[in-house]
Amino acid sequence: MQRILLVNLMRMGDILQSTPVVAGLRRAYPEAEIHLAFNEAFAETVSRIDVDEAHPLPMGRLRDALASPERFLDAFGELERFGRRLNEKGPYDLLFNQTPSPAAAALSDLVEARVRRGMRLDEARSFVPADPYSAYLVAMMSNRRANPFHLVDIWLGTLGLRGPDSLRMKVTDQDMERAVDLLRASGADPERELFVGFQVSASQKEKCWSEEGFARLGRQLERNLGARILLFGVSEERHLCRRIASAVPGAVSLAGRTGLGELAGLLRRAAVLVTNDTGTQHVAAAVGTPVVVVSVGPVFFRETGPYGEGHRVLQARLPCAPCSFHVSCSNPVCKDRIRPDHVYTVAVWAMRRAQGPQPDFGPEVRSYRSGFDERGRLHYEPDVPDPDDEILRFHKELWTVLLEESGTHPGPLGLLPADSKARRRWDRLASVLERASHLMDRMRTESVRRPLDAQEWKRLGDELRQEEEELRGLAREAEELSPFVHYLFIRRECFPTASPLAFLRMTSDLYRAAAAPIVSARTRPSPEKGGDFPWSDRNCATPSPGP
Amino acid sequence: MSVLVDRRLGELAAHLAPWLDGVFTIDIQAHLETFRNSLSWVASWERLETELRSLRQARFDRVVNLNFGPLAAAVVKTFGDTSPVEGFGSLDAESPAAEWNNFIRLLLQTDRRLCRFHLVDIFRFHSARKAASRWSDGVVPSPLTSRSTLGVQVGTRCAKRTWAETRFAEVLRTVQSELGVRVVLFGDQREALSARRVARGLKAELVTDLVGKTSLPDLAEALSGCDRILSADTGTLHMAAWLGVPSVALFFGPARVFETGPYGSGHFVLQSEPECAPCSESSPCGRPVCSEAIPPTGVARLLAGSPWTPPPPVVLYEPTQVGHWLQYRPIPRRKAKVWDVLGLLCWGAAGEIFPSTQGRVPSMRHALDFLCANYDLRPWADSVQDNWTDGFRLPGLPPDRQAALTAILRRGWRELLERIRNHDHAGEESLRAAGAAA
Amino acid sequence: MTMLEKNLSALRERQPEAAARVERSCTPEGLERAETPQGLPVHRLRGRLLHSQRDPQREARKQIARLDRPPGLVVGFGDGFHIEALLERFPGAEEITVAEPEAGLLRAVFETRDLSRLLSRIRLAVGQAPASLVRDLTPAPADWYVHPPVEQIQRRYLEAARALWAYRSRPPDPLRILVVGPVYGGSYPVACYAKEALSRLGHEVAFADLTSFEQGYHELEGCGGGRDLLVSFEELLSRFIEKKAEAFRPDLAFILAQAPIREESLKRLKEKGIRLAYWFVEDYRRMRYWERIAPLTDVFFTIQREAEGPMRAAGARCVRYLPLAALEGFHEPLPLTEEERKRYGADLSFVGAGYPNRRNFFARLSRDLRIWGNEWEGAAPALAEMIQDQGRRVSAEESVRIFNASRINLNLHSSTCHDGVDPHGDFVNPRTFEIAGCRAFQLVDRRSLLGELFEPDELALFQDLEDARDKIDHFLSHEQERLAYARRGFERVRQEHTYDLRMREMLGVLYEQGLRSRRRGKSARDWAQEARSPELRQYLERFPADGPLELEDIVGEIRKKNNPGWEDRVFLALMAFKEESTCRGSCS
Repeated sequence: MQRILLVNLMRMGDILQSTPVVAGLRRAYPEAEIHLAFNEAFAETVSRIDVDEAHPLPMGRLRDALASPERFLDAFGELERFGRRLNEKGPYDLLFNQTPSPAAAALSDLVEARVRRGMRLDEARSFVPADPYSAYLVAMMSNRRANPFHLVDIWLGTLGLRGPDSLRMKVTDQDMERAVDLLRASGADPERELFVGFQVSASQKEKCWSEEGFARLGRQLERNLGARILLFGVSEERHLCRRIASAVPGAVSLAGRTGLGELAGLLRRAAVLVTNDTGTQHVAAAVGTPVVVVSVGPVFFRETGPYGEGHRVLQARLPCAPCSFHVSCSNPVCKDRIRPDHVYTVAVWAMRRAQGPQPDFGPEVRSYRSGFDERGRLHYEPDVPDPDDEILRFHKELWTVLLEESGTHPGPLGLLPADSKARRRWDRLASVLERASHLMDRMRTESVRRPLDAQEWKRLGDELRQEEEELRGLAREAEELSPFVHYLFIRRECFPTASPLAFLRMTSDLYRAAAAPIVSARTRPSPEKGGDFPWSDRNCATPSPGP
Repeated sequence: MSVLVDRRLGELAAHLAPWLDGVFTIDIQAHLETFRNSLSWVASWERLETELRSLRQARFDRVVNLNFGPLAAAVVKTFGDTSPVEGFGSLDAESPAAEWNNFIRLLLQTDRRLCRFHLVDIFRFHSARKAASRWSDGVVPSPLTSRSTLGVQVGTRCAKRTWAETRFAEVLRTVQSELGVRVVLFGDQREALSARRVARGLKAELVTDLVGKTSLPDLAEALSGCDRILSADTGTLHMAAWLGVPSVALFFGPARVFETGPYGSGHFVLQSEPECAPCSESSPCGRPVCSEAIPPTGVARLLAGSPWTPPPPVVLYEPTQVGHWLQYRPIPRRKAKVWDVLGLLCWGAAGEIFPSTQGRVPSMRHALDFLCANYDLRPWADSVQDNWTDGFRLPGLPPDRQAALTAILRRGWRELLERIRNHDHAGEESLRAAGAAA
Repeated sequence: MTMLEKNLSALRERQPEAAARVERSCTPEGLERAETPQGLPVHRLRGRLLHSQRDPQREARKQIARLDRPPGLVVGFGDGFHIEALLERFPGAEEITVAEPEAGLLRAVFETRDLSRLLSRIRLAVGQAPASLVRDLTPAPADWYVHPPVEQIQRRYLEAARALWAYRSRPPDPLRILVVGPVYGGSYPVACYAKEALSRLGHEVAFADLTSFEQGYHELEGCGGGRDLLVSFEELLSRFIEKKAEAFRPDLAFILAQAPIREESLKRLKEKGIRLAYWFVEDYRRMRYWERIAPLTDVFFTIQREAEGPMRAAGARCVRYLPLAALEGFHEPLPLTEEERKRYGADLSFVGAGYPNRRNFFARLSRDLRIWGNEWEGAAPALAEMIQDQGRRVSAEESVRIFNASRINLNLHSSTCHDGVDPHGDFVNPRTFEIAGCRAFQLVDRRSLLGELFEPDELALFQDLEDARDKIDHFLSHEQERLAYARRGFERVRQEHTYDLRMREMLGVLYEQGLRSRRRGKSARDWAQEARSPELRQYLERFPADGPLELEDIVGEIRKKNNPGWEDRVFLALMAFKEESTCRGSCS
């Protein structure tokens, strides 16, 4: 590995979140030079992360040019230059396209590379996840609720890297000075006061906790701890921030007055950041400030929450939470369920960077604390154990088996209560997979053993199609299975079809590997027992590790 | 869809491609014997007539001849009137398929090192579907463990393609002692002795000797039970690839990975490329430097799944997908030889020489990308003229096509040169940097 | 240690198995020992001196002096003087191979003087059959040095070796051979075996099988029409054979004894340029018709040494001794089912026709014997109950089963003028080889020619009735001995007495006489006659019926057409095969 290119055309948060990837790569390939292709709109962010060369793509200009038919040639020019610049020094040894968009895939196709990971376009210009983790990323979209992995860990997995690692970003002395000046200017005493950051807005309003909630939380923090609330945001958000600031004694609205540098400085200076799902949370994480995320609406904190140890997340316990994509909720109960004092409690423990007592907010609200599991992957441990989380833990194990290990891993299915519906569905899935892979083996082996005639072959083929139908059916009927099934289909898509027999062999191996953990789980002595995770302490006894 | 194959392969075809609607056979051997023993041709004629009649009566809509020899051409011509023939021996020599096959044949005739078309891709040209096979780099064979089975084909049909028994033995001893894999030996009766000699040094309880004991279908069955195959360029190897068994293949002498390497993913091929390679199978060889150049230790390491760079003139290749087509990329990236450049340029040129074939063969873009991504071309930048490809001719190519070829090659080379030149001054920089560091 | 042991150990060092062979052997009949004035031992074998009795060494030096280079093979060890001379004439010569067919002779010679120095410098091919000698022999006969007395003593051996060599170095073209058999009788199976062996050798063989006429023949025999009817019937069959030959146009007609072929026919075949080989597998003393036929043939093969003289005298151009044999893959050990054992099994059985000497012999044998075969009509009551299946003819396949199933196969050569064993019987009957070929045990009556075909320990012999009884009783109670004999006999047959080898030798002789396959184009009519498919016959009609017509001619015609028809295209395809068949060497 000499030269590595990351293609990350996403926003600030995503760029910051690729810093663990960079760190991992540096560990794995100390001599390699790491390049980043990025949206030039985020040059500032990129300038603060550790890459050897950054290649900005003028996406704004591109978009404009493409918008007007007569100027598409300019767009071509831009792309042409971009590609040429990247190819200048010959092919990259590794190209990782982190951006799950056809455009980005097409773009990375312009770049010569020996090994490609992440999202790719194939000849037919259709989306191909080139590796298990990318396939997972695509499959997971079909039911993000079932996703146990943080985006960063998926990226690390794609490259075969391992955490734990934290977000990183350069914060200069000037940044700190400017931050201090800002505080002084707003009448605060940077040296002695306790600062708590608020990010009260977000990319979409569904993701925002209630204005009222923030205000009352602010007052509580001010009253009990004498904390000074700093409200961050872009200038479009300054009215909102001012309203809240006016409702909280001493609160300062910095909306529109902070560049990335100042923001970083201020956040480092703050004891904790209370935020919606925003890029700011990643900046905080990157400068080592604990974050409390109020996860409402279509926010999947497990996927995009603050990466690192000791962050807190609050989420309403509701069947509809988090909302599926593109729902515009008329009655956002989730926002009211999370009360300011809930947030207050976790915020306090967060800023003390202490575990604290397990806060129990009753059946209404869940609270989580972030940490790393034994594989160095981010994990949100619920303060109060609950079955949904058990299921997620099971998903995590299952996916681990599928994405990283051989099918002989002792199944974690025992994590599910033996009688649960979920369990039965998984069993069904397993048996369909087994039947299917058995069928494929039959088609394969029997056809080599004795000549099957075309009819016989077609018959087996039809049987197989039925099994596949049932798979689709299962995916439809059981939401938690759908990523799993999708994943299998996507992987299968990536097998060579040059030889049908080879294809059958690979597919049936895949299916068997997928079924194995579920099946072997059946043979476990006590299905109630949990997998051996460091954080699964008192509520599940640790079983002996499998063979 | 039906196939026509030699009688000895009919059964196998029916086994390995059960979705075929029919398997027709001709007893090639019998007919040849008739003449080798100068027996009367009458019986042979009658037999052939019956064999062919059934084909004629089938009235195919398309007949695709995948062979290059006059024999098959003559055979397909017999029922060509009821069904239009594509490919070599087509009644319409102007047809894309015929032109295409002719082009390939010319490449091979001019210099085998020019031919970067894999046989399977040459065949797939005829398949109506545009996008046939596609796969990602995600398919990686799992390393061998004590639970895995390693299939080994010691012999080949040609001494010049056969690796020394002692070397096989050494490899197998190593992998057995280090990984404890089970070894299954394949081959036909003629190879029984050498196989036994190879097996001698191995743990008897971990060796299954199937040499001479398997019919072709048996072989297929046994193969599909293996986790990896070790073989030279043999039918066993290709059957394994067809069955999806990953392989480590040894190519030398007359064997060329680019033409007949294992097709699919998950294979590693060691190709020995001394100056004299590829030689013809019939030409005598005093000392097979090519096969001796492949060190058993390295082969063992490949089987064990640990990275290893072979010493020249041996090159490690890995199949990779370029467009819909298969290419073998050197691991690690290596200096391009003239044949790499010319061969791959020709590979990319076909589509434009024969416009009718476009989309069904690789494009120049594919060729250039592949070249840049997998070969170091810097030394080329100044060592050659911009128009050095103009001198290149494919004897036998119609003049207009020849002209087209020259033009395309020149254009391809220019574009390549541009890229190289950029790389080159980048190279200088890195050199300067290195100098400074020193 | 004795002289013998000294020499043996010297030999054993380099060729243990050869040493063993010599040790096993016993001194041959008719070997006398003489002494030279210098006190050197020389031997006389069957009345022939192996070396000069005056000064063997001088004689040897003189003979060797004629050679200008060391020979590739020396045939005949004699008393070894010529070999010593050879080694001193060519001290540098690398290992010389000496073939000595008679192990017994070596043994005798080893006893007489110290040959250990000599033995350390040569390779001995001891008692090796011509077949095996030629098989792994490289130098051509031109490069052999044959110890003069051996030319006579081992004539048969040398002839065989040379003939086999001639076959080995034959021209590539396979021959077209017409095998002519009898209407019925003992020579019929032989004809079949010969045909089988010849086609296995890759030659194009046609078989004039006349057995379909047997019924008619017997009718004529029985109708009291007398001799002349039969004669004209034989004339008819003879014409029939001619026709066959015309259609098939063989290079060689291989005719078996009893074949109803007349001199005129032989002459006509000869005029057509067809070589004639005749295998007279009968007792020339009893049947005299060879006198008419032998002169007309190119080679006349007999199963009796002594026949050669009279036959030459009768005008036969070339007479060769060619003993019978067994057919590999047919006469072989068979795993028998239980009811086959019951059906054919016995302690003692005999297969064959009821010749007088056999009737008499078996009737007085007073042992429990099962007799298979025909022509036993009117047998004495004592005999009658031994005869199986009312003395119907047993097929060759059946006899193989019987041989396999019987503990002891009695083999008494036929005779019309004895009441038991023929004391002067020479030729060896097919049964001898066939039983041995089945790895079955047989008790066979002594024949003068058995000695050079089998080693004493390979066949169990009996002299007369008494001897037969004793041997039967003995061997019934000594299974191991039986098996040992059977095994050794079987090995010998596989080594030397297969039809494959006989046919090679037969053809070898003819090749020596310049027999070549006459690749002449057949005419359209010939082809059409071969053709089974009406289309092809019809197609061929468009060509002139006579005159050679090669595949190339047909294709040439087709290539002139602009839109070839179906048959045309098949021909083109066939031609492609022919062209393919000529380019060899590629192994891909």
